[in-house]
Amino acid sequence: MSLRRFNELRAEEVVYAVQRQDRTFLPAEHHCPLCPTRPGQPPTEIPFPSYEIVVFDNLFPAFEAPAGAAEVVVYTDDHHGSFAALAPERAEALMWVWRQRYEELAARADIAYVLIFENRGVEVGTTLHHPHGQIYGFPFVPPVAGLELDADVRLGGCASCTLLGRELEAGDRVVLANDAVVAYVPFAARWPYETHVVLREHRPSLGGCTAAELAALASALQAVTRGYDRLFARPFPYVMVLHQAPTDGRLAGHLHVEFYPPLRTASKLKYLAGSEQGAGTFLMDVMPEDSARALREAIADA
Amino acid sequence: MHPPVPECSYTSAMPSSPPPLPPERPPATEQPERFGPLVLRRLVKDDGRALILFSRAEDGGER
Repeated sequence: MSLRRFNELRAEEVVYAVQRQDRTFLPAEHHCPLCPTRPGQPPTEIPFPSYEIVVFDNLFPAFEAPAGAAEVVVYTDDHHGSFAALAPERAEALMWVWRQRYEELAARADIAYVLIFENRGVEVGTTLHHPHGQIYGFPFVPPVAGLELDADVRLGGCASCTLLGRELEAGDRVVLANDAVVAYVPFAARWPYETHVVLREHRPSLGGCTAAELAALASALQAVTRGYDRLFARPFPYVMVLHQAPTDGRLAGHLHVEFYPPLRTASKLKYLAGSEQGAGTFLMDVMPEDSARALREAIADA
Repeated sequence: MHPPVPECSYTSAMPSSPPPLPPERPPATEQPERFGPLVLRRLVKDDGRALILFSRAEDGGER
């Protein structure tokens, strides 16, 4: 069971999940716990010879009932795939899986916020190469979600709607747009190729989206991740996070997906160092307009 | 029109409260369920953890 301690100086919760210290770490492919269980071979986490998409309780949970949840979402039984490489219909199905898990976890009294995310690449701490994401059901509203709600108050309405309007008006940071979704490098990006993928309509969560919007979201997310891989002609590490409404009863939030990629060049990482960690101020080596231009071209070429 | 924005204070929204009541987990079932275009099957692993198999419905499902 995880423990929570409140860090007074940072005004934030810290979660101690010491059971995660021994979690599986970059196993060889033939020991991958997310691959199907093949005849005559030891069982993996998924006791079937093939599957489409699977969700299961994390063996090494950061949160667990009755104070949250931690789930693994396996996108495909192909060990060598990626989110970007999924067939479009599989990516669209994943949107519905995310929606189903959001709605089911949101209904639980012990969960105040549902965080759906993917860590891709050892640079951001992935411990299993098999294409997968995770879901944390937080028993509290975490700081980033809280800051977004504060931004709504500060801007006098939905912050995401306001910022989307500004980005569309400026135009030079937009990297992709379709009927339902716009992707852009934000005005004050904190990572060199940070990208936000935002629903045009105000939808607090996946649960409020139409089928067409879910399809458009899947398409946009895949286009961005393919563009990332194209950008430096290498698998592009990123943290991908869905931002949705808290599930503690507040009617706030605007569904969008944020990418935090750590690369600033093909071989150099952006580190969180003295200014970022000690002062809370990000220092950037590239202007968002320049990275948006490069990413826009990469998406078009991918 | 945007919905009204509730007042929010991050610090006041995060009490270190005791754990709430245990959640209710949908039971494992042999009968597949439908969710939009998906079919899902709920299972329980040997160690008690939940596992859900998702697949696309052959008829495309209701959306």
